[in-house]
Amino acid sequence: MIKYTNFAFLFVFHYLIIQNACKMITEKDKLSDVISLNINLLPVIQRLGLISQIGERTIQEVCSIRGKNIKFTLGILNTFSSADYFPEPEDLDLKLLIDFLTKTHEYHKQVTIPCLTGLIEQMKRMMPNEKLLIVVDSYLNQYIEKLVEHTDFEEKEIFPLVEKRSDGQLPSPAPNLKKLFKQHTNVENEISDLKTIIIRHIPEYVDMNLIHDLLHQLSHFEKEQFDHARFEDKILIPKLIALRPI
Amino acid sequence: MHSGNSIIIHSSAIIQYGLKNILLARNIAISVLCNTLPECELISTWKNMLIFADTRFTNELKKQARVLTRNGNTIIGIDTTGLIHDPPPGFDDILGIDDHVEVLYQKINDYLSKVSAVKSDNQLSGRETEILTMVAQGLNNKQIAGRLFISIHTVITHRKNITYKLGIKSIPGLTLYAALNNLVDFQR
Repeated sequence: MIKYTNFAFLFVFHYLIIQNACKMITEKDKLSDVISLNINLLPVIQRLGLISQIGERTIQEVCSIRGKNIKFTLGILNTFSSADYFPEPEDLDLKLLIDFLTKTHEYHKQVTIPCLTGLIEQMKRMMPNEKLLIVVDSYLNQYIEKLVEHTDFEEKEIFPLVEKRSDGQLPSPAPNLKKLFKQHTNVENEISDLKTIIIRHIPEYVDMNLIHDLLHQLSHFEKEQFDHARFEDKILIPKLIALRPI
Repeated sequence: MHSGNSIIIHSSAIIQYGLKNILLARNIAISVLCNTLPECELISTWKNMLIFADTRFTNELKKQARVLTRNGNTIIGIDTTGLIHDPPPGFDDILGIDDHVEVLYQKINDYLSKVSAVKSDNQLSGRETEILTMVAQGLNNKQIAGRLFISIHTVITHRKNITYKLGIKSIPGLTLYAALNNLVDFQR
């Protein structure tokens, strides 16, 4: 009898642990708790327009004050906080999604990229002849050029299709969606490769705080790019393909 | 210099610098010094490293143990309590705060021979190095096959092996690697 009680207790205990680990963000959660548990969500919450007046309020309360769509907000927050989660496509309003993706592009152009290039510049000033920094600088500049070209392509060619659909116009000629898929894979791999190479070639007398910041920023950027591509590849593009003229 | 092969994860500056000096005396450079365990994404990029970590990170490291072992890393616990004599789960060995310096040197030599053995499996062959150089010069598979008088299929196989061994997937990444290893002129 004791054995069975212990077994049941262990089962419930493990079940509770698993439940806690897989816990989804809901409208009743306090926004401040969500940020405390995963600080990487802060820029996402900023792009959703939910920063300020956070206080002790739940997500539902903040959304209501700021006039934001609760289903969309939860879909985005859960996707960014869990790699296994995927929102129901009908929960994500396409216009809101386009707005969010455009803000993400802006965030990378205005915040992430200047932060990365600033760190490299700072290190280069301290070690102007360090080969790693010279080649990484050149690599990063080429990467940024490609990224900007890619985001411009999306903003000019892909995103307007949603507007056209709303107006009852069918896109013609159809955009090259295959190109978009390929670009996403390259964008992620190149950042991951850069990180791997920097780690293997860290100079002996470099400022470790700067290197740590750089690797941390690259990891964050890689994760952001991965989640960003998930939205575009799994939700946006299938919806757009469905719109294309037969 | 056995450069770029060690990571120290410990919040104590005394332990960080003490261990760093012991490793430097054995010509082992330190790649990363951390106060706490970094994020999973960063940990998954570590390959063929000697990782010295505070045993207080046992629970966190246990979750990463499979990836770390698969990537050829050796994880050595640093015990400051004097109470842990066997390596905790996820660790390959344990260094005690009271260990004599000669014992530390002997243990470190053992770890190094283990890491070198793994590393040799990941070393590029002559043909792979040749193909990597051509990829970095901007040649495509067809051009490489033509220059080396081999089939495109063989070039693709070599390229898969290069990616597997180096853990680098993109062409710009391979070019960067080739530049840093003096296979191509990095100013081009």
